[in-house]
Amino acid sequence: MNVDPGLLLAQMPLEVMVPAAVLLSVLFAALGTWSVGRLISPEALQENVLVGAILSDVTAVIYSVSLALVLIGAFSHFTAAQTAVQREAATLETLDRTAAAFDLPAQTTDRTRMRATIRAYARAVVEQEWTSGAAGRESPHVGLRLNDLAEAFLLVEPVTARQRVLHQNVVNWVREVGELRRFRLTTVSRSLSAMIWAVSLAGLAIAAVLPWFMEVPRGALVRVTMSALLSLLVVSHLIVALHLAYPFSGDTAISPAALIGLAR
Amino acid sequence: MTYDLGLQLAQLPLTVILPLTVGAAVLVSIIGTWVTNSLYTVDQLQGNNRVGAAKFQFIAEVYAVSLGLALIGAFDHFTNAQTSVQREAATLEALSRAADAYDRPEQTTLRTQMKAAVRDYARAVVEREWATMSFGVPSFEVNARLKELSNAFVLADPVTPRQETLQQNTVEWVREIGELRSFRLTTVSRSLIAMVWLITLVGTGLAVIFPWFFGSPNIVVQGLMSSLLSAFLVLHLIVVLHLAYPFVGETSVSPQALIALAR
Repeated sequence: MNVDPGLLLAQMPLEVMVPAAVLLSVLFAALGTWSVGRLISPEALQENVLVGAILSDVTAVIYSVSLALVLIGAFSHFTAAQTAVQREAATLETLDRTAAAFDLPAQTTDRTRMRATIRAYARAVVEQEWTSGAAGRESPHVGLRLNDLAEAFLLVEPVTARQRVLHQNVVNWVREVGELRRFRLTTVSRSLSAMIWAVSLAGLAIAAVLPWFMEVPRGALVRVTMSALLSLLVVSHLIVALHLAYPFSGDTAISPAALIGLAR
Repeated sequence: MTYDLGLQLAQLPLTVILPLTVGAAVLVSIIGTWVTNSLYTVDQLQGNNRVGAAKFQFIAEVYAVSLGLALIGAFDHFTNAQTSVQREAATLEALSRAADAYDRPEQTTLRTQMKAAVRDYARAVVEREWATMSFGVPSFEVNARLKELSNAFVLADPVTPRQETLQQNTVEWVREIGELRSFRLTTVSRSLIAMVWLITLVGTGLAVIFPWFFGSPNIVVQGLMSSLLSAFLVLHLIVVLHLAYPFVGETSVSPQALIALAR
């Protein structure tokens, strides 16, 4: 089983992640500034200020592009996952209402079965698959409940003209539930590519490192503070992107509330 | 068959292309800085700093736009490819479930044929076509399996009203499978056009070269900072490359969803 480090990080509580990010940024800035200060004289560092500023500016402009991609990509991923969950719930609700159309006395069992399978599927998703699905693991139990649901709706015999017309849509809605479930389960595998994260982290490293090579009149403490603040700003964006990229994990995870209502 | 330089490069393992390209960028940066500092004095180069800074800033902002286009275009391409594979798998799954609706005793053979057709198509895509389609080459076996799948569902005779209504949908789903397969096969031909690559590469070249003309008494640190910038730019290009060819290389879209159906 492949371990996704992004998924592991997204599962970390924010009250652990944020202080850790602050501490690491300050530590990294302090260590780096101290190391460079030991290797290169302040006069030599001061000579770099103008060129360093130019290169920092350019790096920032380029990095803002890749950071924007990360944020927009992750946001798009998150909203698509939210929408898919809402659509899954809405489609199930529609199927539940559709059962009422099979209202002939001989169809009582079919109607009861339809409604029961919807409830059972929604309950199984919330209780068995919501947590494991965040890691891309599907529940065989939910698969079976979906099969039951499909059978209940696909195998019912439409008798009246109204039922025949409705059945055409029911077939598509059942298919949609399957598709949306598949979409939900593959959310983690469709998260941002590792290469995009690699570029973001490289940008963070460069943004944190470049100020080490530019001396300021007030010396090391100012350099450390500037470098730490810069790193913190970028890290905070990456934390947001991380949580958006894994919409079913962590403190900001999408809620199954829409499906809970159907499960009752 | 599509011959595409980008496609060839995207196939290279990351353990080869990353050190190669980043190393080359760093080397070019260092050599360029050393050459200009050998040809001109620090004072002469330092005279460029202010004017050069303004021009470089301008170049960077224009380059950011073209890089943004390349990144977002490639990212869009990649996510579309992922989504289409998911949809193809989901549609096949729906067809497999729909086969259960043909449940009359005289339809047993038909039902078995339908399920086998779905399984065989998924297996053929994973085993035969997944590797070749990144070159835009379709598999003849998958062509044959798709035809069998189509025949199994389209030529089935619905007996009950339920089967009639179901068939109206399964016919559309079979058409969709064909469309999604076409989409998959033409992914490489719909990758970023050469002109987008051209302006991105030109911008990268300019961004690597411009810092050579700035002056700083400490050439080592200047070379180091320039190298970091060059390496960073090249990393972006590698990301664009891998996103632009979603079925190639180590970061390619996985056929996992279809593997489950192939069993």
